[in-house]
Amino acid sequence: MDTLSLLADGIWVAMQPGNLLFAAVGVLLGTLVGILPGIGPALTVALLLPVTFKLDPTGSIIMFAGIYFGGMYGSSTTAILINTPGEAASIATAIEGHKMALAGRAGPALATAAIGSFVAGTIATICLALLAPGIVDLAVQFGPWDYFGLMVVAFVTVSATFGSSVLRGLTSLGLGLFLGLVGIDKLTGQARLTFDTPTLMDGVSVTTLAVGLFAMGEALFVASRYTGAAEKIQALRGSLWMSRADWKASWKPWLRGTMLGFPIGALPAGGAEVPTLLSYTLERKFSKNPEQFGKGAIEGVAGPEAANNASATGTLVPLLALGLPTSATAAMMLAGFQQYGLTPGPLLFTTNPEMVWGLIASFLIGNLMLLVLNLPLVGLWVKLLTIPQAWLYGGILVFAAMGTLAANPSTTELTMLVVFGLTGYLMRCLDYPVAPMVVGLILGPMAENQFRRALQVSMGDYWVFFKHPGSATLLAIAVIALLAPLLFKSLRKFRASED
Amino acid sequence: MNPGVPRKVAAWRAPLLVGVGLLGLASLTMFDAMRVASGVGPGVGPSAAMQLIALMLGALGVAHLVQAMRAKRTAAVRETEGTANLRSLAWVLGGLVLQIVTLAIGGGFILSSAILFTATACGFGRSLKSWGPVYGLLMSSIVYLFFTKALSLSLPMGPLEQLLG
Repeated sequence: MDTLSLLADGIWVAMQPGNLLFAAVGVLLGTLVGILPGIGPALTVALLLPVTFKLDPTGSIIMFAGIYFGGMYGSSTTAILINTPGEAASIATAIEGHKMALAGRAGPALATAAIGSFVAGTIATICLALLAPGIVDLAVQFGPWDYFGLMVVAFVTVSATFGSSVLRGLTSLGLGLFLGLVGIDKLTGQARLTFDTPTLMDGVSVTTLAVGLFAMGEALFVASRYTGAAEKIQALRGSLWMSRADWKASWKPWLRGTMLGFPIGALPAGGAEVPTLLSYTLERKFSKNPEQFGKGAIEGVAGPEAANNASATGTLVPLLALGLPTSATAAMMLAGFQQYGLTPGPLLFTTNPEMVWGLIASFLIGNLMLLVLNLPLVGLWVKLLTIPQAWLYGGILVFAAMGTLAANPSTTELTMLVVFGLTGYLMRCLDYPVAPMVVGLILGPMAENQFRRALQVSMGDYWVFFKHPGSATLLAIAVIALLAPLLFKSLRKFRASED
Repeated sequence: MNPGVPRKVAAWRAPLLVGVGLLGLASLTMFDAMRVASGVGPGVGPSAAMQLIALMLGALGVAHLVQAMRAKRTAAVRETEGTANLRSLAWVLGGLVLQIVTLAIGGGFILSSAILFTATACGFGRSLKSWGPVYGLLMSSIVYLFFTKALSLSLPMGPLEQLLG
């Protein structure tokens, strides 16, 4: 069957009334949680994971996709209205969008973000549908060594290449890999790093880590910076709709943002920060009135928002086709699949095609729903921002504890959550990124599995990774990606000392 | 102590502590790897990855120590994002610890969560006599009912949960 008829089947699956309902609930819940200050899409998905525990897999994965896109929409709304980007990818939006809101143009800023996200999400989903089957065909020929190489590349790009510090990124990754070791080894049944604690036998749960690092870390950080002053929310004034000039200024940035975001997201190149900032720079270059930038240029919201959404959809290409999570959010999506015992990757395309294509189709539907539901509801969402911090963070912590207890009703698990929360707080204070740790925890055991399978095939010969052109190339890329930022740094230092 | 006001601290302290911590984790992993028997048959056993990651953590630890030494030599300073508001932090952390204790002695989800909620609200400037405890009890009860009845998840039971059925 060709891609289009598979996608058509998928749309049919996603259009089932039950699944439409799941998509709508997901979109609304995702927006509701994502809009809360300091909560980005990854955390939204982590917090809402328990909500989907007991539902049927296809429906809840579709709901998941809705949560994901809703979370992104919510985060950009927060960035525009109170200038606290929930994640690095919303920084560009926060710069220009907040200035627009200050100037009484919050409506058009929200509209261009929403419509731009819709355009980018739709185009990127179609690209995903066209690209994924090809990658799946390729991936079928991959040996364990190739998978291992691919995962090493993902490790390096996620932690080292695009972070502010290679050492801090790798440290975060190393901590994640360490936590990935904990538990019973699946091949031999031996306990590793469990110290005879029963709760640790099952390993460290990705949800507990993510909720601890993101939600609890964030709550502790905000508490530690509490001064008694309330946050300022920009009231929604003026028209909600974009003028003709706004449309004219926005449509090209939407398309350019999509073109930047999708490929960068699809490569295992880490989060959406790079494409959004690239798009921001690009729009400033292309703009007819660059002096508007920094003062509320609509292009500076339209481009980065489109890039953000396109790259988020792009990260689903390696996730669905290879089972490779390359961002914290993708890691959470993978955790969502795993709670049903499903492993994304080439196999899922053949064993559960209606689910995979239903999911892809539901991205299209979820994006459309966001546009239809959320622009009219924006007044309601804004009200959420007026919840006092005291109730907000109290609620977030109760919800975080609830999710952990629902997954594993033990005080040991809850203690782990608090320990991860403290870790997240300290990492935040010392400027260590937390996303590599989450990716390391989920990807580490997968990489080990491929590593051991490869060495089993080769009878313990390590050359197996260098003998095969695929894995040799990938490992070389990983080394280059690791050394590149260091080289740039010394080059810069060298130049600076020459001046 | 002014929360939120940037402050300068010596730059060698953080990397020294992180470095020592990483070396600790590395030796712990290495030590545990020696206990784990290496696998039988072709390939490598469960200890190989442990050794690999222990080496990585060790190398990262050494790199941190080198960074700390360099910072010490140049007497570099690092600007922090501000002094921590320890009172707020203590309230929130205390709430979390109290929740765990309440659960451990069988207080159930609703009561323990209401305590956490109230403590957090106190951390954000509310007094104990405010609406915090009421909101906390209300919210935890609604969350409990929704997730156990509508989504059939199981949450820790206590006296209040028995009452709600």
